[in-house]
Amino acid sequence: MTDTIKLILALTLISLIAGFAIGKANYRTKDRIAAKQQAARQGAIDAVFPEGFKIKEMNDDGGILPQKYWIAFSDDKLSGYAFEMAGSGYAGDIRFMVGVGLDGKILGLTVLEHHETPGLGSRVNEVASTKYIWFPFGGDDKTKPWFTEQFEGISTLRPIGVEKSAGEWHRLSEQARAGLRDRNAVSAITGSTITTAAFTRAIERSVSKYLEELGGYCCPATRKKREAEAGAAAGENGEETEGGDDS
Amino acid sequence: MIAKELKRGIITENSIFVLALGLCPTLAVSTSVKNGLGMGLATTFVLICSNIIISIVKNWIPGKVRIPCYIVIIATFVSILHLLIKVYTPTLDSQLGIFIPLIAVNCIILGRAEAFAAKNNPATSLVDGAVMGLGFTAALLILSTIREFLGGNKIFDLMVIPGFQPMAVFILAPGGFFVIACVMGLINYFRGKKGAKAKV
Amino acid sequence: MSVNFISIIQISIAAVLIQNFVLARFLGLCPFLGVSKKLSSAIGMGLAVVFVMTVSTIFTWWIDTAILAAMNLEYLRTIMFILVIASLVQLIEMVMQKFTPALYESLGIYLPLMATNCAILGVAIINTDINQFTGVPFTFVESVVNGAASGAGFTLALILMAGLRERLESSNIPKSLEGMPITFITAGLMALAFLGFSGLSFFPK
Repeated sequence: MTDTIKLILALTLISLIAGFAIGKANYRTKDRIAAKQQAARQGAIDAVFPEGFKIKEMNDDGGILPQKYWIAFSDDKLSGYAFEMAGSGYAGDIRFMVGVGLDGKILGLTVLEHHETPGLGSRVNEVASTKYIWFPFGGDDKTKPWFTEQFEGISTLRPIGVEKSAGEWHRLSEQARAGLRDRNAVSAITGSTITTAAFTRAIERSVSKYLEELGGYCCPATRKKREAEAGAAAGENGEETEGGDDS
Repeated sequence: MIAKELKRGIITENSIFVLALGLCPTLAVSTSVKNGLGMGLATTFVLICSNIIISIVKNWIPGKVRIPCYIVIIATFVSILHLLIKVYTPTLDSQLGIFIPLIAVNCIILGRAEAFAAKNNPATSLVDGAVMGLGFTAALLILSTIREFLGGNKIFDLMVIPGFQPMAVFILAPGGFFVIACVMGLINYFRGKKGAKAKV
Repeated sequence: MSVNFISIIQISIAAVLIQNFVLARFLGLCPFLGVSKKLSSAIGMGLAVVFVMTVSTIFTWWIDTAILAAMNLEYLRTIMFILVIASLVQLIEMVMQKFTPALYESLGIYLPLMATNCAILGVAIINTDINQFTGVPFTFVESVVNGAASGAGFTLALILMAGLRERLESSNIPKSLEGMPITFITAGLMALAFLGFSGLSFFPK
C-alpha cells in the first residue's frame, strides 16, 4: 500500500512542478506573444491600403458585420474598408486581412496566419525572387508576395475564378495577367488549389455582404441616419439627394 | 572523445537512418531546409534539457511510474519551447504547426531518456542529448535539402538551377517516403561495400 | 445537441482517404512501420488504435472545452493531453485484463505502445482546431467521429501495408534496399495512390 502511495506521490509531485514551470513560462511570455500578434495585425492593416491612407478601427455589435473592421480615409474622404477573414485551407485555418475600395475592388491582401504545407500552400507568402544560391547577394527581390499581389484589383462583387492552367502569376506575361483580371480570376498556386480557393471562397462569402450593409458609409448607423435624412429631403423637395461623405 | 561521440550520434547510431526512430516529424517537416533546421534544433533543445533533468532525478523516481514521469518532464520542456517559439519566431510556429507539441511523443527523446539518461550522470547525458540531437538535425538537413531542391528548385528559399522544372511530388507525402528510402538504401549500399554488416 | 450529418460524413471520408493519418499527415509512422510485418498483428494493432483514439478523444475534448478553454489554460494542452492519454491507456489495459481477458490477449501487447503514438496525441490536438468543413470548432460528436475515422484510416493503411509486406518477404529485392528502404518505397507508392483522393473535394463550386 505504501508503495502505491509513493507512486502516486511521485507522479503528482512531478506533474505539479511541471504545471508550475509551464505556468511561469506562460506568465513571462504571454504579454510578448500578444504584443507580437497585435503588431502583426497592425502591420497587415497598414499593408492592405495604399500609402498615405489614414486608418481608423471601427466596432460593430455583431449582426452582419464583423465585430471589428477598419476604415481608411484618403484626403479626408472615406475610401476603403479592411476586414479580417478566415478561410479553411488544406491544414487548418488561413486568416488574412483584405482591404476593399468603395467600388468593391480589392486594394490589398495580407496573410496573417496559415498552417499550409511548406513548399506548397505556404507559398502564399512567397516573394518572387531571382536570387540564386550561387550568388545570394545578386538578383532582385520583389517586395510583395506574388500570390497576394494578384488579388489587387479583383472585384469582390462578382464570383472570383481560380485558374490552374494559366500558370502562376509571377511567371505570367502582362497580357496574361490582364486576361486574368478581365475574367476576375486569380492563378492557383501549383498543387495547392485548396489553399487558393480558401481565399476566394472566404471573400466571396462575406465581403459583398459587408459592403452592402455598409453601403459606402463608415458604419451602418451613419448609413441609416443619412438615408433617413435623404428620404425626408426627398419627401419635401420631391427630388433625390446625394448622401454626403462621412468623415 | 568529442569527435568519437559526434561520430556515434551522427553516423553510427544516427537516430533516423540507423535506428529509424522519430520518423513522423522527420518526414512531415523535411519539406524545406528552414523547417528541417528549426525542427532539428527544437528537438535537440528538448533532448538536451530532458536528458539532463532525467539523469538528475532518476534516483528519486520509483521504477513503476518512471515512463509517465519521463513523459511529463519531456512535455514540460516542449510546452516551454512552444511558448518561446511563439515569442521569437511566430512563422516557424505556424509552419511546424501540430508537430511542435508532437515533439513530446518523439520516440527519440523518450528512447534516450530510457536508454541513456536513466543510467548515466548529467554531464554525459548532456553530451548524449547533444550528439543525438545533432544527428537528428543532420538527417533532417539532408532530407530537406534533397526534397526542397527536387520539389521546389530551391534551397533555403534561394533558387538553385535556372530553368529547372521542379517536381512537386517530392514536397508532397509520397516524395518524403521515396527520398528517405533512397538515402537509407545508399547508406546500406556503402556499408555493404565497406564490408560492415548492414543490418537495419 | 444538434448533429450535422453532412459534416460527419465529410470528416469521416477526409480522415480515412483524403488526409489519411499515415500516408498524408505523417502521423503514427513508428507503429505503422513496426507492426506491419504480419497481417494478424496489423489487424490487432489497428483495432487497438481505433479503440484508444475514440475513447481518448471523448476525454480530451471534454477536458479541453470544460477545463482548459474555460479557464484560459490552453498552454497546458500538450502536457494535459499526454497525461490523459497515458493514464487512459493504463486504465484500459487494467479493465481489459480484468473483464475481457480474451480481448486483452489479442490487443494487450499493443496498448503500452499507445502512450507514445503521435497519432493519438495528434488527433486530440487536431480536434482543438477549427473544423475545416463547418468553419467552427469541432463539436463533441464531430471530434469523436474524427477520432474514430482517423483511427480507421490508420488501420486501413496498416492492413494494406501488412498485406504488401507479407508478399515482399518472398520477392527478390536489391540487397541495399532490404528492410526499411523497400518498406518506405512501398509506403511512398501507397501515398501516391492515396494522393488521388485529394480530388474528392467537398468544397462547394
